[in-house]
Amino acid sequence: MISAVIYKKNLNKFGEEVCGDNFQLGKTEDSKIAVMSDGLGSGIKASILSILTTEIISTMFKKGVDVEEVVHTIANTLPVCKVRGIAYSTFTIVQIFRNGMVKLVNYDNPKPIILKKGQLYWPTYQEKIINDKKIKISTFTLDPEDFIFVMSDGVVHAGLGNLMDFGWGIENIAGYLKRMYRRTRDIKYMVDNLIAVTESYYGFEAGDDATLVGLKITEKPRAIIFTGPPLDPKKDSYYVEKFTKFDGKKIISGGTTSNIVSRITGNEMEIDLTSTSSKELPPYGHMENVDLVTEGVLTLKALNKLLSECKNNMYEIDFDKKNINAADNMFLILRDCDEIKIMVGRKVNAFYHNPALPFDMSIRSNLVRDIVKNLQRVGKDVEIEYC
Amino acid sequence: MVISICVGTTCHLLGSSSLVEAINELPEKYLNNVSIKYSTCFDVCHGQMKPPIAKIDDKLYDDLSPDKIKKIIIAMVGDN
Ligand code: FES
Repeated sequence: MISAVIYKKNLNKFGEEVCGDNFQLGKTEDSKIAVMSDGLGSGIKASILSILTTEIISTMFKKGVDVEEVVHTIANTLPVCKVRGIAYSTFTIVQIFRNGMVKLVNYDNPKPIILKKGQLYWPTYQEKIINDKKIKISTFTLDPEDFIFVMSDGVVHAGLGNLMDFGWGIENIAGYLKRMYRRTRDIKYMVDNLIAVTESYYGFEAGDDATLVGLKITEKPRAIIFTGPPLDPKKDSYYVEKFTKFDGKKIISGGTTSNIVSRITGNEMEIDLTSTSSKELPPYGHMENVDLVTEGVLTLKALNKLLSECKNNMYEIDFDKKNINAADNMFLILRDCDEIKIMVGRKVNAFYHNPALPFDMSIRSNLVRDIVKNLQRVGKDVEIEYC
Repeated sequence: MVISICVGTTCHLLGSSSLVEAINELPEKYLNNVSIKYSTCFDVCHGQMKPPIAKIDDKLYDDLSPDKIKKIIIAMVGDN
């Protein structure tokens, strides 16, 4: 099963308050859909046109209409500018299915750039003329760690007349992304970097709206967090089995919880001696078949703080990769997941009521409730099971 | 000797990270004799013993402070 992590960045045309490009994310039962539209011109008018386009496309997808039909509708309704003979907005749709299939639909936006196993991949497109509009459609498969970059022509034209004759162009951008892939697979870094270069090619006064959407194909888009010992110790092995059989990233948050898992599976827990980078948080570790083991309440509290700093998505926070603590680590694992399951044990550690501690520690379930709310806000599907 | 320092929630809150630092401050002749490990909750902090807690060669020690753990190590290594 595959999915994608998606990150977008845009530049507004110099002097404009709003961007004439728009981007929307949607999903169906078995796929994730990214839609990017570029409205004719710039400013408010362009913005309305592109929002309208992405809105119609996303809404139709949500209603279960398939790509071909969506394209048909949009191509038939999209007005064409009488003066210039071009459509009022262009669009690109990327639909990523869980089984690895990718469907790309492009109408008049620059060719999306695809990196397959680090190499540039240019799929063949089938052309369909719908209501005088040439729509390009392609279907292919991708694997985890492959990338798709969708952009508006504002990116491609950067440098036009200024530094180069025709802007830096799709070939150069593709080459740049390919070189960058050798240094990093961090989608946020790649997109931010490319937009920064674009902006500099414009001499920091963008001549057009420029949007870049990066999609990184990922594996195992699910994660599970097991926190707190189950209320009834007789059920320990039942829940541990449920946890270990989970298909996805596995996180244990809590000392007693990790002891229980370790006892039942026979796998010993190893705490990284070098991970004690943060004074506030205890170090973290690993166990066979478990991706991350952390302390409980303090780490969850720190995770919740990070999450509440994100408005729309989890890419709003930067980390110093060399110096990450247990909560940062958990945050980074969750960032790459679509679905998150939390198993919350309800047994309370009696010591947590101790007045010697700085705050009431018996707050695990309230804390988890806040975390769930925050995760949902940044677009995650969250399931919670009390045990 | 093997020292396992508990880095569970309560031990951490009551200062287990300062124990590691304290041990690392010891002169080399002591340090050469110890290997430090981290451990999750020993499940003895619910009233039986007072955090922070560490296990030294299979025996649990509680209510530790930097000074206390240093003294214990010096005494034990000195005996050898
Ligand atoms: S937290 Fe250290 S023994 Fe429980």
